[in-house]
Amino acid sequence: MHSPQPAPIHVFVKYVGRIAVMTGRVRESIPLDEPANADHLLDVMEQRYPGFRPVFDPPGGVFNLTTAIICRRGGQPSFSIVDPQEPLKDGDVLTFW
Amino acid sequence: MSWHGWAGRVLRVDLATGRISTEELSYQKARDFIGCRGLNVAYLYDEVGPEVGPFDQGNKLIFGAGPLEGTPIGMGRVSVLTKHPNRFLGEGGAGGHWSAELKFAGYDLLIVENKAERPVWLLIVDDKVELREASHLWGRDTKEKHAIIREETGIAGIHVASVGMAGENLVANAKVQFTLDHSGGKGCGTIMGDKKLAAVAVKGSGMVTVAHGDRFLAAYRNFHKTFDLNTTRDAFVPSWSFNSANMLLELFNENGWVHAHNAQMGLFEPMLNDVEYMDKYVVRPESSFCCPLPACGRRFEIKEGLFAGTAGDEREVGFAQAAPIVGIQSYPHVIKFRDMCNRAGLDEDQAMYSIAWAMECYERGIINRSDTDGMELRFGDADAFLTMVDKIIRREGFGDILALGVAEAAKRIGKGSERFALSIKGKELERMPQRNGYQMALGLAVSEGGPDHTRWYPPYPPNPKTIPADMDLPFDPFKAFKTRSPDDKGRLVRWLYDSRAIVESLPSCVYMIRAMLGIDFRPWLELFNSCTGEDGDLDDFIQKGTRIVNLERAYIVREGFRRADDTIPRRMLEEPVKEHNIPPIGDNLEIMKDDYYQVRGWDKETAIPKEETLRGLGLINVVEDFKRRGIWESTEEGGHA
Repeated sequence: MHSPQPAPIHVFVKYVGRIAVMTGRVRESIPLDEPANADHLLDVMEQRYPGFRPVFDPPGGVFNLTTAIICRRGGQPSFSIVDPQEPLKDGDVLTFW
Repeated sequence: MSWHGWAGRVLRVDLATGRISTEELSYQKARDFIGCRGLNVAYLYDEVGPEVGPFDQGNKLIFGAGPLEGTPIGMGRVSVLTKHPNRFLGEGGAGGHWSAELKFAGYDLLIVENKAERPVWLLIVDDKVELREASHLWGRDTKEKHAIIREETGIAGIHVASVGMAGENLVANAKVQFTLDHSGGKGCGTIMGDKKLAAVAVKGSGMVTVAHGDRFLAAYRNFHKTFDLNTTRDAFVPSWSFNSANMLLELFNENGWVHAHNAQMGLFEPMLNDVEYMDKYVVRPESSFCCPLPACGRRFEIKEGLFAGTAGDEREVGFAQAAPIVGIQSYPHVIKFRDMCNRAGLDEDQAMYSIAWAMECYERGIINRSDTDGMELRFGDADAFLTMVDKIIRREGFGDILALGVAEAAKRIGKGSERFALSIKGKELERMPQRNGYQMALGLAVSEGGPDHTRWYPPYPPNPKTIPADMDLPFDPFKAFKTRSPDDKGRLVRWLYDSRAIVESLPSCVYMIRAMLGIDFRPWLELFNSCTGEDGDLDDFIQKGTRIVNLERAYIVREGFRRADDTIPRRMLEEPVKEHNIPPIGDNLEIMKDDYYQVRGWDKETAIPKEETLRGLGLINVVEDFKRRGIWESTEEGGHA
């Protein structure tokens, strides 16, 4: 028996202001293996855009103290991600600024 | 007496007689109300009572600097004040350099009285003050006025405050336009136009003396550190430093804060992109006097294509949020809109919300082409939007109705259109969230100056977890910053109002009170004391803000405003933001108002400050005035909303 492959989910990300300058783009879709959380997404972002993670999660510092990630999910009121372990779901719209 | 910080002089100009005089600033008023916004209302309360109508000779126009103006903390902030055409406080702050020049010329306040028979402009160069004939300026746009005055005086560094065609044509909420396209004072441009005062140009050669230079310098260095991108504790600072408030477009969208299609929707896609604006249209920074955030004010230019050659200055939230409100997705159109407002001194909120109201009425069949000069007026039609902006400025056709302001326009049209007019106290809404930010809804509702976010901005600390334990704040930040709960909003909004009143009276810029400076007022106290030589403690300092807000409340109470006028548009109270599943505010507004009035020491039924509250703040003149006028016995219920 093979264990089932993790199902990919897609999150849609937007970059605002100086973050868009780091990425060179303003929005894109990113696939993640499920189960996914904000920390996994930052891993992907760091691979794509080296130097991205420490802006949001500085070593020895406080997560999102001088930045923010807003999550919009399924037509519900948006919320800020304050914990890197926050689970992400397929279709989430995440705005980095 | 020897003044530090304050210049110690008030300049009065009587436009009817041409008399120009100076008098010593009242030290008692300066101590009690600091300067700028606070001093302005102290003088207006004493000099322009309810018997004076907004367009009467007796209404006055006051330009105020403050004790820290002319130092790097002041950032060129000026407060302009008058009795608004709707009778509330027509007050607004603006940046730039004008106010610093007023201080360098040796004045804390400029009070303009009565009306001129023919257009005039005022020149202030230190002690040389003169009224000049202005027929060659009247009918010109603000940029032309500024250029002509610079050429006429030969003073390159002169700074100008002027009215554009919106003010000259008495459009309801016209603003005063300062050099570098800073503008302020909703309705002040209207009254300035009514007084036929085309412009006030000022240049000073003096300086501001500081009582304790070393202390002040140390306090200033601490202030400046909060903007260090490596150490700041506020998420806004890095982004604001890079791209000013245009970054808010996407944030507002994602939080359901945008007022798309006259606030029928809370999501607008695709939203204009802030980076596109930076790449294509921003030419260079244009900062206010000593402002540490270079991106906040910027020069824009359309270099090619539609509206090529359009150029000007912009700052903060402003213009791009017109896009979702009227449903357009073209930067050239919103840039052109900004330029038209700059040149005309037109309040952009009046333009965008009144036209959005008309678009909604048109799409609902309440009005048709016979009302709109034959125009089809639908959301998303960018050309129709700009055409109607021009009609408002010129008061042509349907634009003449919209020039009255959206609340009055809705009364004229009737047929249920009042429901879609987004206004507070008769003045168009600001682009601030309400249904997903209860502290902001309450802040807007209880304003004595119509919708004005600077009275409570920024409405949050950097992060509640980072607030030092010794701060002893008068609210619980973990409760107060829950955005869709009425809990603890009264205490929070009182704190925001009182503290921001201090900042706007010193003055400094509320956009600058980032990081801990928005919540910890000990550094501000040290700046004030070291500059002026005063020695009050923190409680005394905060009480100055409380006193200012209570006097502002007393002013509009005397004009007949009551609890019923402290409200927000029905759409926010009764309709959800469907795209984000955010419910309407409903009864929560009244719950928060009860809380707010109680912590203020105001009567819950009427929103009138109680006698003991006024006495506790030393506002004995107001107590006597209220007794003489029978204010506390009055059964008036307001009705200005």
